Amino acid sequence: MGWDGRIVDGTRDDLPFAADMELNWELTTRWLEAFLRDEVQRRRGFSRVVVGLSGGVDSSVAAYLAARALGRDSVYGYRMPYRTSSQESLDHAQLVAEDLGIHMITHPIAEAVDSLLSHDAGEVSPHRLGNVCSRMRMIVLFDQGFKLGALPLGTGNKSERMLGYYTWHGDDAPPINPLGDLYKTQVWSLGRYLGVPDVIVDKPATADLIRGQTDEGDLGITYARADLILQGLLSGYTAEQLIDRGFAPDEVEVVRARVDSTHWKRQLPTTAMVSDTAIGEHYLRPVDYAR
Amino acid sequence: MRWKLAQFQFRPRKADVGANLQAVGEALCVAHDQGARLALFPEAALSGYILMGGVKEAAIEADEAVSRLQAHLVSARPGATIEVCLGFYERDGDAIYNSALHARLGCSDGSDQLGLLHVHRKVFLPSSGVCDEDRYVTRGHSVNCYDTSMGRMAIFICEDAWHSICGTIAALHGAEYILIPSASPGRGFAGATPQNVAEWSQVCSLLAREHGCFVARTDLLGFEGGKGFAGVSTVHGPDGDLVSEGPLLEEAMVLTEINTDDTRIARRRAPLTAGLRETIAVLARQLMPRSTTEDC
Repeated sequence: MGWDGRIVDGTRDDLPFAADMELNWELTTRWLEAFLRDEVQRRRGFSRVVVGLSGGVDSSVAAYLAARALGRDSVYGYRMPYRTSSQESLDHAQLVAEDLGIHMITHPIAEAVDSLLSHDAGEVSPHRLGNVCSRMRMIVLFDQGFKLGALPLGTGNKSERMLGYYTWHGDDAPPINPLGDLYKTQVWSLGRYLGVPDVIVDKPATADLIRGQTDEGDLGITYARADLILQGLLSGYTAEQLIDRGFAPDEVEVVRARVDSTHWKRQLPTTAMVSDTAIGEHYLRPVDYAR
Repeated sequence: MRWKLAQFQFRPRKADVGANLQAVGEALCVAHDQGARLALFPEAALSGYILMGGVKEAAIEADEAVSRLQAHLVSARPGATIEVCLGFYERDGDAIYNSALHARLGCSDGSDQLGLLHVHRKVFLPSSGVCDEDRYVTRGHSVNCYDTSMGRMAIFICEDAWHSICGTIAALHGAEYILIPSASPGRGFAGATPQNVAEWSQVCSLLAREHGCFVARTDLLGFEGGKGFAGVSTVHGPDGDLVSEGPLLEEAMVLTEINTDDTRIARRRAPLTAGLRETIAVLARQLMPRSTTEDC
């Protein structure tokens, strides 16, 4: 007697972790709005936020979320151009501010950056200039926040954070960040859901330091591929297992190498421990303790 | 018998036990005014969940918490009686536990004992992902049932409920109700509700259905250092069906009428606990590793 039943290959042929990438954006938005209200208003006692508007999708999405969560009158968007910043970036930042009806202030950083660098005869590479601009923008944002009684809002996404594609104590400095656990491709999707203008969501991501520069060109991989590989690695798959599931060895290596070389950027400064009361080692309190 | 349960999706002030006891006391008055006989609060309701080393400062003895709630209720609602189950960090000598107490408060009518009825100390302390409880609190060592004016109950705190052995023990000891104060950080946003909320509903449904008891879970509310607690309190009936559900991300008192007839009917339809009683003696030997049982 033979087997008459149907033979079915029941093996899943999709990537089990890829399904987690497309989120319910209505639910996610509600969650992030609640996060902003709790962290800004209830825990920290602020009613306003300041956010740097670069004209890119990350800062735009952060501004849209903040306006929904806190009200447009509570959001202050800052354009902080350097000499290399493109007019298109400035225009897109203005588009966001006008669409939302939030406050918009333009605070150029060129004079401060050039003054700082003029005291040093060393070479100013794009990388070095990018770091100085990033940190200068944070000086402006924190100072303006102090003046207004407003909390600086972070806009870095999970892809940048995992790949180390940001300036330590620069872009990552603001005390709260609604986007830090969303990959770049997820921020694009969230931007479309929130109604961020297509011209902003659809343009290539760029640090805006050199004409024609793009994030994906700098990284050597598209965010679409990098995000899937990151999600696989963070879900516990080894590089070999990802290659076995169809990723190219060189693209996995690009991501793995960036992640492994930038763990330090995702940490506070390393402190030499000499006692049994070391902060963060023995003395451990959460960020919102007694608030 | 029909009675009313009030579940509080509660947002505590971080590490401020006095303010939270005051808020719980005021909430109990509202629950009493709405006809509730039992008010269920979340895990760590007197302090917030993520305290790290701060648990030492925010822990309180169970008797002291009960006595302060009793004083509040007697003063604010003379003549009222209500039972409360709430999660808190418990100090007992030098040890600190993640505990939940059940107390009967207010005015004695002579038929039921007033004061502390039971304290459950969390047995399964999660120390993976966003949780690191094992470092800061001591593990509880038992799951017990206790009698209340509504019937026989057991308390599981959060992860306790995910281990089927807790449900098995409670069922064998006659639990008609399982109360679950929880603090489950929201994550997984691909579906209609956060993934952890959906998974919790499945766990509670299976727990209720297998053991033919009511299962009420009340979750913490609000964000602590970026980790969000969703609320969404649930009650599952003894057939596993969802009886009531609270709102997402909202401070709320969720009222549910419990009909104890449902338990009898469900157990008659699916006498799984009766089967468990008959079989457990045979299977219990397998619960311990072979080397241990051979040593015995």
